[in-house]
Amino acid sequence: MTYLDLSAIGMRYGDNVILDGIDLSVAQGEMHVLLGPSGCGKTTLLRSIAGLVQPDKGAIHLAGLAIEKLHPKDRGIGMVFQHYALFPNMTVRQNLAFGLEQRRLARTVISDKIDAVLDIVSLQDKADSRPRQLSGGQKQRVALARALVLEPSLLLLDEPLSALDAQIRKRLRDELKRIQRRTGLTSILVTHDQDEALSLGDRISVMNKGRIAQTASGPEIFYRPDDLFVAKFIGNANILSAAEFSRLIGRDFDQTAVIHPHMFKIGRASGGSSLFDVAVTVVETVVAGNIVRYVMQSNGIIFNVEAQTAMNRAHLAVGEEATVTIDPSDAHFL
Amino acid sequence: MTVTRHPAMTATLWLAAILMLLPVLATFLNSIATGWTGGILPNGLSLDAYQTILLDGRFQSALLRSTVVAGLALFLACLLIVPAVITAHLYWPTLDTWMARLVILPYAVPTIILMVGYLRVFSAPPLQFSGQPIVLVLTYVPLCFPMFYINVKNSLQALDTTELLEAGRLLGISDARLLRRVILPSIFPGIALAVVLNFAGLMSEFVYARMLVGGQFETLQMYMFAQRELSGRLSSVIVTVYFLITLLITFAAFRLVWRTETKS
Repeated sequence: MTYLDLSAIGMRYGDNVILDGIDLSVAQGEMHVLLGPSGCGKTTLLRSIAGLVQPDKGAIHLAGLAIEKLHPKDRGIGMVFQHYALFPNMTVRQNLAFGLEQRRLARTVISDKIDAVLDIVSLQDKADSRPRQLSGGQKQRVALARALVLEPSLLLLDEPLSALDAQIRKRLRDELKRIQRRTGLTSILVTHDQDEALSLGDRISVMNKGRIAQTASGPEIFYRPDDLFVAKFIGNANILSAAEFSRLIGRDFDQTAVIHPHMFKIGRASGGSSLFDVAVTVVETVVAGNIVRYVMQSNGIIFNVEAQTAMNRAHLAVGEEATVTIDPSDAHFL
Repeated sequence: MTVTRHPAMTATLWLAAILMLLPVLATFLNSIATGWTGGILPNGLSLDAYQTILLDGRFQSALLRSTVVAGLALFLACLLIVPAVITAHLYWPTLDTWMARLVILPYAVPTIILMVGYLRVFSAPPLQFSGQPIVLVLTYVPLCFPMFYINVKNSLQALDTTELLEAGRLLGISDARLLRRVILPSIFPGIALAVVLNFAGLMSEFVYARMLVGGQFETLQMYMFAQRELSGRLSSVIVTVYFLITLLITFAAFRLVWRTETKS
């Protein structure tokens, strides 16, 4: 069931079209990710939903209510900013209380709500710290708590993890997912990081030049991109033209093939299967933990292959000749 | 991470500190000397000069005049410049680029041209206060502008004010309230610093005072100028007293900053 509904959102800035007729429906409780390169309009779309920018046209409905004309504070939306936007002169508790105080709630009610939210983000012991005494990850959790404490009907997250270093980003990503599940809060997260999108999003909208190129689940986007842009943006799939793919496996195809590197299997096919053998030369080998990344060459076609490493198995060396197999049904055609 | 300090660096720092302190110490020493001839140290010590100066009614009124004029000018500057810089930073970025250029104006225009201009402006209606102390207050305000602009602007840039305002709007906090509760307290140390630096500057201002209010309104620097013929000792006393006052105000300002930082 549609909870948030955007229809025909359009916005231009001078001659630049920022948002070009965006339609999007998000279900209640869904974690929806807007993914795209910088300048694709994803942040502007998020800010339009929040009411921080006013789109030129289009309608926004949240829980059946038209909100596009409302002031940001009346939309019932919580937002987490990229650089936290915590109030630096206030303690964590005061940061959370500031919004609640505007609602003229009793002191004890405010205090109870804050304790409950600090418990969710596991920051009870930091209640009286100031932002400058917190780490980046803790700051972002405070920012999340500040949005949650007002019990919004929709949570917007603007690249919430991008300012953090890799280790903390991964941990906070899992925690974000857990909190979102626990609160059941409908959320929209903006990111340019596909790993983040794939691991967090119930559904993902890939955006390009002010339009949504595709909206689907993570695996769907990953294995069955709708167009070349999505195919190139997600993962590092081999994109082979019809002619190249035909030449590679020696059978005629009339569509562009999108094949993920791990779909190639090293070794010869056992007879009678639908697999095709391809004779290759190894051009480059990179061993990265549990994965070996090969660049291989066959008939003048260069492509990437990935395989699992094992403790007691050697990998192919540069210059070595080998055979890989591919099942055309593992390829996606555009 | 440990920082390794080379002995030469430490020595350089100490040398610089001594160089900075030496004039102050020498002035102080001279102010409490009975005489200072023929040796590296004074002949004897006494507080007589302090008594002479501090009990001099002329000194007391000069000190009062300088403090009141500087205080009023700084009060006006806080009232006019700080809101202007903040509003330009938040809502009129184009205006802000102009402010950044205007900042050098009080330094770039030769003082004599400013003086002639001021004398003309204040000798005809509607601002006909030529020679009155109010002229000094009004002309000191623009003199404070660069220091205020730089300090307030730096403090604002250290905050991400746009995001803060937006976060506030989503939380139902009005811009005015956010300014009062978050932005002003956060830039307060910058404002305090501008006040202290400008106060020190205005207390030792001489040219404006001499040219604009002349003999009718003796400020601290003009009193010192008048005493120069009498004895270097008296000048040393005045400088020491003036230095102590500035030091006191600095400490007061830092205390205030420290208190707002630990309180709120």
